[in-house]
Amino acid sequence: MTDPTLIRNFSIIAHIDHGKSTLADRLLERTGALSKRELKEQFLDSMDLERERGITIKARSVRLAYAARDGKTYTLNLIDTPGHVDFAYEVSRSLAACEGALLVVDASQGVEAQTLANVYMALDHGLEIVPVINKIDLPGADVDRTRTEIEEIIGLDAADAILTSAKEGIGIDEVLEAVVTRIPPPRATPGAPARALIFDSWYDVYQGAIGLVRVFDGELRRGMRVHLMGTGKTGEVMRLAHFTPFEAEVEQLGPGEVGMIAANVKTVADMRVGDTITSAEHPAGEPLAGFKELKPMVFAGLYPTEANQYGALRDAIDKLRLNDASLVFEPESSQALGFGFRAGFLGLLHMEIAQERLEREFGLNLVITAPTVAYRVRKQGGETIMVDNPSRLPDESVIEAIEEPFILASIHVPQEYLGAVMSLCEERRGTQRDLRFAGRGRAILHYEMPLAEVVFDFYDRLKSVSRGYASLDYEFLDFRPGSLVKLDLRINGDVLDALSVIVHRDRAYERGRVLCEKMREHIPRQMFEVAIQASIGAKIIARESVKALRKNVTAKCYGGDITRKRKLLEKQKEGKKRMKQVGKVEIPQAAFLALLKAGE
Amino acid sequence: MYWRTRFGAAPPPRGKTHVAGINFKGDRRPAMLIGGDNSNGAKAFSLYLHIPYCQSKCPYCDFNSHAAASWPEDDYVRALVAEIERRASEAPWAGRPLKTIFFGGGTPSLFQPESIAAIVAAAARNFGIETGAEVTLEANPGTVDAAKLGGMRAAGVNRISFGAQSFNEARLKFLGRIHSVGETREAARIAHRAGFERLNLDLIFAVPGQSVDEVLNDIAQAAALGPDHISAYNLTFEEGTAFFTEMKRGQIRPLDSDRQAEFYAAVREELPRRGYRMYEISNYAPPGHEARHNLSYWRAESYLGLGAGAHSFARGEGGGSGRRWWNERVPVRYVERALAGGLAEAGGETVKADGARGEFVFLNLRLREGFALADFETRFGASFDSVFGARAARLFEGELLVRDEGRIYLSERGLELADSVFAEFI
Repeated sequence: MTDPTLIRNFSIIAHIDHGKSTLADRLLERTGALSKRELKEQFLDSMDLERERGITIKARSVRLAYAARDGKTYTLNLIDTPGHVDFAYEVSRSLAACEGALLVVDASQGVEAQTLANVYMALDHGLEIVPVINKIDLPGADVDRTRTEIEEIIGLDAADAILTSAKEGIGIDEVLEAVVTRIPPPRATPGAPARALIFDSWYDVYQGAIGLVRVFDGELRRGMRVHLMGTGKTGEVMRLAHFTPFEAEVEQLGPGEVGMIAANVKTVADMRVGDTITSAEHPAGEPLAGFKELKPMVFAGLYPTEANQYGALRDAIDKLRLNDASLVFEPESSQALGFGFRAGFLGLLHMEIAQERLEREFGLNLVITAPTVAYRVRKQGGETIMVDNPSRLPDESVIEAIEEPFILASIHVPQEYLGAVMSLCEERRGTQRDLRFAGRGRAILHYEMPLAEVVFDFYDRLKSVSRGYASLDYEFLDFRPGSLVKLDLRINGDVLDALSVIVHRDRAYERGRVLCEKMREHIPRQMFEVAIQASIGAKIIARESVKALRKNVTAKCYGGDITRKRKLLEKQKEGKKRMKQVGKVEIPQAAFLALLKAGE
Repeated sequence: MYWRTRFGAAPPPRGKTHVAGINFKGDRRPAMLIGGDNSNGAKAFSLYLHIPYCQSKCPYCDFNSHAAASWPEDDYVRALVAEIERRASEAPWAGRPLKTIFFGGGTPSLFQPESIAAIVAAAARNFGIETGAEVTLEANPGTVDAAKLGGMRAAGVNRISFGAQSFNEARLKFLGRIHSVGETREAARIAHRAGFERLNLDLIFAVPGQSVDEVLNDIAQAAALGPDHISAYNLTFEEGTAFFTEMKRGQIRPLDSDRQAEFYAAVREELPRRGYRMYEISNYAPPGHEARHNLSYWRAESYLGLGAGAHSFARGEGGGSGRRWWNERVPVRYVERALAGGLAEAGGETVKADGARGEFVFLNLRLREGFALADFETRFGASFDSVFGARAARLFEGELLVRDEGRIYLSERGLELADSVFAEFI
């Protein structure tokens, strides 16, 4: 067991591309955890997907041995955090495992929105923040300005900020010294029963659910019977290890230490991030604070492109779930897309990552429907239900109120695009909370907005009105009642369930018009007229029509033409297979897709 | 005119207003039931003879025709005769007489009457030709004179089909025709004088640049020549034709389908007004003057096709299945093979029962009278409703198909959307 006074637990907070991974690599290299030869670039981001996107999805930790200038050798546990707000809860648990954090800011870019949320979260957890101004070697680097931004925007004293160029290896020793001298050691209550925080978990085929833990009190030993206080599961500690970054098995983990635990727990759903592990024999009275069950915020349908891949998709989802307890799935079938799943995600990035993993790791081709949010519906009689699929909205007559999730959006934008971004936010039913100017001609806007407006192509529009310069971050606020209605799309009077949406009444007309137009563009003229209508209840609010085809007849058909003619008709029929018959008319799958698919 | 005594007086004169604006919405019940199949029961069949040569190839034509300055007429006739002899000796044709003979092309009128006579004689010798059988020859108005048509009549031909196409000189030129309007008129007069009581004129409408009025004028001009049958075809741009290539290159543009529908409606209104009852999608004749040969195709009956690229169909015994096959397309190769043993088959297919049911429906529905449900059931041993009921439901509901007194036929709008309707039965 390591003397807690010689342990430092810290993480790195940085915006994408500000150099977090490169700095981590340098720290590994400098402490001899990895030789240059072993050092794959960005070691901590082990999944291909993470490396490609430059983001960290799953937390990792690495234990470093650092011989400090005071002559002592310290154990530094670098706890990596996911870099996106969709994983805010995982970030918060990782931060909770630390006593301090390095705040890495790109000297040429300054403070960005994503950084802010995590810094505030770290401050909330009482972490000591060490500002690091990175990329000082770049021609555009402006150290003084960056320092001022850190002070003015974040409110941290940046006088002692460490200047680095992780790429060039400048300032690495200073960073390590600051970790030892400025970040406090862990504190443990002597003699207290064991309490360890799970801040990451994943599934291993041989060992079941693996947890990454930070021990706060007492110790975990091999063979010990443990109790997971949140999920109520018990298990026996089979294996304990550090990552150096290579796995090094140990007999026990003491106060302040970080490591992995395998405890005969089958699924990650039972080894929840945020849960507290204690001894089954001498359990702690209270778990560590902050455990909560994550609720998915964004929902979408996942359908295989080929119907025969449904089984493969189901298997892939089951496997994905082993590793990602925050994914929620249930089978769903759609008029247009056949059999698939309705899935709940923490946010848009989480959704995108899940889709990419399914496609990449399992070789599936997916149709993913445009994301929606879950509404809280208060029914008459007091019952409250969550509705994540518009077609399941109860009848209007029994609804007392529909509430929708609101978020607080933080948008960083150069001042020249401020007007455009503000109009966009207003257009999306946003209410401005504040506006601050942050130097370098940039502004930070805070808007309270319905999440539904954000998931519906907001990010793309934001990028487009700001020529790509605006950045967005958001956090969930609460559910608020709104004037929300279900908008149905009808074909010759029949409602197409799969295409119903819940929208704000003020936006229903516009949305209805757009949906009808899009639908019309994709429906070919055919035997019968196709009336496309958008309706709220029985009230039609928008309409389009595809006039019936007037002529489709082959003039000549004699003895020599019959075979060819039949083949032409067969071809025509083959084309119809990709059509769904609705009443008397046929709607191409492409039309459904155009309305359902994300990003269109 | 010679036939007018048989089917009534000339239509009332019409003013400048035409019928394009008249809608065919109402489902007036079409005059029904083409009679006149006076053959000896089902055993008699139809014989098609293909003559593939033309003086020049028309840019819209996708038939197996070949422009040639000269052609091996004697060899070709011998090849046809060889095929006749061979087929007459085998099932299912042996011992069955002919109810119709059709010389199609190409331009059969390029052949000498002696050649045609030799072929008809061979057919008579080998199969037998029923009394009153229909013997048609397709002819280009630019290739006939009194002597030739007289010879054809003597050879046993009793019906002539002229490709008149248009009565507008510019249009004829555009369509690549080798004859003038004057030659069409002259040819029709000669045919009458040669004793042809049955005469068809082909017309083409919806040609780019054409107006509905012009087509109505074509019909008036054609009718004035006294044919007992008019075929009026909507111009189509078939793959492999010069027009198709020009269309792809953007050099010519077909009329849009709404406009074509106007032409078609005008044609369907005008011809009956002049005494030509519509009995098929593109064919019009006074009652009893329908082309019996072509009726065999639309009624999904057996027919034997001889000559280069000709198709044949033999109905199977029961269950409604059948077999279809086709000859070598290239004339020299056809001739070579036919002369070598009387067979020149290049390919074929078995039409299974379900395919045959679909064919039966889409062929018969081309006829204005459609088909009798009882005939469907007799032929396939299952009722129409049990086979197609579910698929046909919306066609009836949408009034594209009509069910009336045990028959099913296309409504007026169904006619215009026939291919869409047919696709439901495939």
